[in-house]
Amino acid sequence: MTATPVSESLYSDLIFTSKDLNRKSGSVLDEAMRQPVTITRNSDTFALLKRERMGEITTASYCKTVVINLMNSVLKLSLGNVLEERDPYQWIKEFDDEDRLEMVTEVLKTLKYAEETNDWDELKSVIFEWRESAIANQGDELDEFREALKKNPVS
Amino acid sequence: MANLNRLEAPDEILLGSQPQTTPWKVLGNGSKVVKSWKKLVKQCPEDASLCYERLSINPMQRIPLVCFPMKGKNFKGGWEYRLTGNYRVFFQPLPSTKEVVVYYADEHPKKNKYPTPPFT
Repeated sequence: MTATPVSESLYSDLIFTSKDLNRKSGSVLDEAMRQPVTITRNSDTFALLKRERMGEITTASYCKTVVINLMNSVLKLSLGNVLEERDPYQWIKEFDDEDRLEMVTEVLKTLKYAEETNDWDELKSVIFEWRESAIANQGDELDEFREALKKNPVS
Repeated sequence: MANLNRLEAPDEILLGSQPQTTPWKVLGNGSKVVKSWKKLVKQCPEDASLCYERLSINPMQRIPLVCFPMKGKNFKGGWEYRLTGNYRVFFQPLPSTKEVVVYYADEHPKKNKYPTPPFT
């Protein structure tokens, strides 16, 4: 099951009233096991779905927000703008345009994979690994390492 | 490449065990790395043992969030091993000679100045 709805519509047309929920909760819950359903009470509507499914949707939504924010920061730099001091992606300044393009490509490819497989951990790992490499660029502690890699490249 | 020394396995440092033959030879670049590795082994023996085992058996196996090739052109060909939250090992695997050269084994190279990332 993918966490991402293919359209904006998440809920099926199955609608139960709050009375239904009281009187035949078993069958309402059985239906909610299969797919999200809507419960109505007066003019309010509520969603009833498996918690696991809600967790998947929340994770997908959160990860996509992270990717959008990261892309936004990359775009700002590409346009010559300055990142705000509290921008969580300030570390991308450690890379040049070419590296950032490589990062964007890898992140988007991993995002696609996550959407298809619901494996969001890989996306988190890829962003973490880019950030770690950015931090390595910051100081001079790894200068010798950097020089050695240049002198003795291994394909 | 200057002054490469064999890095002792944690068991050798902590227990005085005899060196074991491993598929990959783990080397340290210079005496500073040898010294910092010993210090690191004493501070986090279990994590260091696991790190040494992985480096000496299959250093080019990516383990998400733990062992991975570095990104960007500056460190192309370099690998990072995240020993703990605070300690890092940076190395270059040399497949032709089956050697791993460790260039850094110490605290995270710089207390990073960047805001906390959203994923951690």
